[in-house]
Amino acid sequence: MIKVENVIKKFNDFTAIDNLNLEISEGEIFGLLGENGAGKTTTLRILATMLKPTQGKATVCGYDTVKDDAKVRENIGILFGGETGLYDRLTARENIEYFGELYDMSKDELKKEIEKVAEALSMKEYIDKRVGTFSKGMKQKVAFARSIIHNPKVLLLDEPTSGLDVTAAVEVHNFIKECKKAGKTIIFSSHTMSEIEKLCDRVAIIHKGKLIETNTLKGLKEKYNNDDLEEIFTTLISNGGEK
Amino acid sequence: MNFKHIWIVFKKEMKDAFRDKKSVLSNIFLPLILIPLIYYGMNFFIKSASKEVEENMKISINTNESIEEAKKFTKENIIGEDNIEIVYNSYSDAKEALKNGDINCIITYEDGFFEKIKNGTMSKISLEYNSFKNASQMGVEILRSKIMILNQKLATQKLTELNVSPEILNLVSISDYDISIEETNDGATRNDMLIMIVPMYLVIVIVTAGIPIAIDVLAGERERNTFEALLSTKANRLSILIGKYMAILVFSIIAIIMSFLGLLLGIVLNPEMFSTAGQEMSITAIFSTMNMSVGAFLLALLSSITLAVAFAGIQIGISTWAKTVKEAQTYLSYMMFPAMILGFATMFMGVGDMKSFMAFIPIFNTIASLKMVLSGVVNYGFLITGVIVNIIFVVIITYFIIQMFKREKTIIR
Ligand SMILES: Nc1ncnc2c1ncn2[C@@H]1O[C@H](COP(=O)(O)OP(=O)(O)OP(=O)(O)O)[C@@H](O)[C@H]1O
Ligand SMILES: [Mg+2]
Repeated sequence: MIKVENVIKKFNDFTAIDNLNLEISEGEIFGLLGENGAGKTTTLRILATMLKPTQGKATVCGYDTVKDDAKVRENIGILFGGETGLYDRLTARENIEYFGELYDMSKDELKKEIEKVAEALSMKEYIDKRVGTFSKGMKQKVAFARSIIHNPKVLLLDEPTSGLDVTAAVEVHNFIKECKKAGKTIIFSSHTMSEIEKLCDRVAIIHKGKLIETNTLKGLKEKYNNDDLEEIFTTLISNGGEK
Repeated sequence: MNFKHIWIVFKKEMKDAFRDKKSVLSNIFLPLILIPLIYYGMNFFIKSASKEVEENMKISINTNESIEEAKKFTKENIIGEDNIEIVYNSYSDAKEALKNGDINCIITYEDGFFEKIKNGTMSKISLEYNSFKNASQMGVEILRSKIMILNQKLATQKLTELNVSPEILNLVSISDYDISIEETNDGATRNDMLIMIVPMYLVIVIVTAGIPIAIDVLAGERERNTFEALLSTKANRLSILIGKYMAILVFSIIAIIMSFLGLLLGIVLNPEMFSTAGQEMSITAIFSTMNMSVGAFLLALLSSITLAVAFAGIQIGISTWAKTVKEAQTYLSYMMFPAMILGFATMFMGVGDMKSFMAFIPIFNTIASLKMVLSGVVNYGFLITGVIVNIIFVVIITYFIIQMFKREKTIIR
């Protein structure tokens, strides 16, 4: 479903991604784990066609992110965390509609889908209010709804729970699980192992742009003979990738 | 490029812009009332200041003659019906009061003044005032004109006594005649005030009207973190760019039309504000000065529109380049300067002063075109050259911003 082959990304002289290889199959929740500045966002941006690889190539649903960028964008939904971006003067519905329309959805289709997602994320009572006054959790839900409104096959989530309180984070986790049930492929970046552990089937650990390890959670535990994934992560990182 | 996507982006940006009350108020509503407001404000302060002086005027008299006679003479012959109070009898007190601004003027009658007046020989009055004090300066003007009237009256009296017609006071009379009017405007009077103000004002508005919305839809989009999400939708970058471009353009054209209507409103409400000396000033008179040709009018309009398109493009470029809204605001506020400088540089230029090289400089050429149309002196070569130059300007700018939008460096910062 998603393939990253020998990708190098340089910003001027600085190498942010150094020869990255990943292969993610359909229906998987794949974790991207790394510290600040590891290259998680950069990787997701390459997949989202926002950045071009300096070398190597990436494909999403079989489409090249450089040559078939429009096709790639049709098939992905992105939620890039941090301060969630919404248009404050538009209502939640209008925010979602705007993106849906840009994916060429019809009015009726949009209406139906918005009802559905508002129900699923329990945001019915404020769907027609302007988002300017919303709490961070409410905004994150609207942003989520916006990123999946066109029913994409692939979801790229960059630290989608950063800055949320526990309840809101759990809601996001549950929603991600729902998306998996619906058969979506999800890449999920985080810098905490515990979150990855809760959700992901497989994880890639990256450090300073280099891939240190890809494995299933079970495989990691067996390989390093340790039940504490957090510990495995910190040891791997502190070794700086030298096993 | 996808017209549907362009339309969706355009619609959303317009909706968003018109929900921004602050921006609507300052860009749509304010231009409409700005000129009338400035006029009324200025008028109010000037009038109230001069009224204040007229109503509270105090003077002192300094003379070696009888002070009672001097007061009587001043009241009867200079002050008349007006409300001017005569205070202080001592010259040194009066001088101190003038310094402090407590009185407006001191009138000094020379020795033997009243005798001389009676005999009809030359007599001297001096006025002392304090130019540090505005009220004193205005007061001395009032007194001066009153004394001039007195002078006229006394002279006429004297001439009548001598059986000479007072007309000899005006032996030479002047009447002037401007040949440029006949030459250029089918004999209709030209309104120099309009030619001076309107083009400059409109061009400054054209160049700056799109700034707030340009900042919001590009730098603002980046700052809100919506830019990447928007660009990762199915819509391609060019469609998004054009949608935003159109929104900025339409918003600034609305703002420009509002400013124009505001100007018109200003003229309708206070035609005398726009009058040049010796012109009959009424709204019909103003419009009769503009017997321009349709072709010239359309060319000047085209020159204005292409200038608006070009500057909407520059605003997009700068706002996309800027990392934050604040940065965009700073850069874009500098954009006022070329418009202001070129605007003021041409402010006092008559149509006859326009040089042909000006057609090659955007902003300059639009101001010149508007001046031509308002004055009726039309040079079609100049107008057409100006429009072509502006179109080339637009093409270059558009090319640059399209290139810019393609570069990941300007999108991801
Ligand atoms: N547009 C850019 N220009 C220059 N350097 C960049 C750019 N984007 C990212 N970098 C650099 O590349 C490296 C990787 O950045 P990236 O944002 O991918 O890290 P991350 O894993 O997402 O970190 P975080 O957890 O802080 O979000 C960082 O050192 C960053 O400074
Ligand atoms: Mg990141």
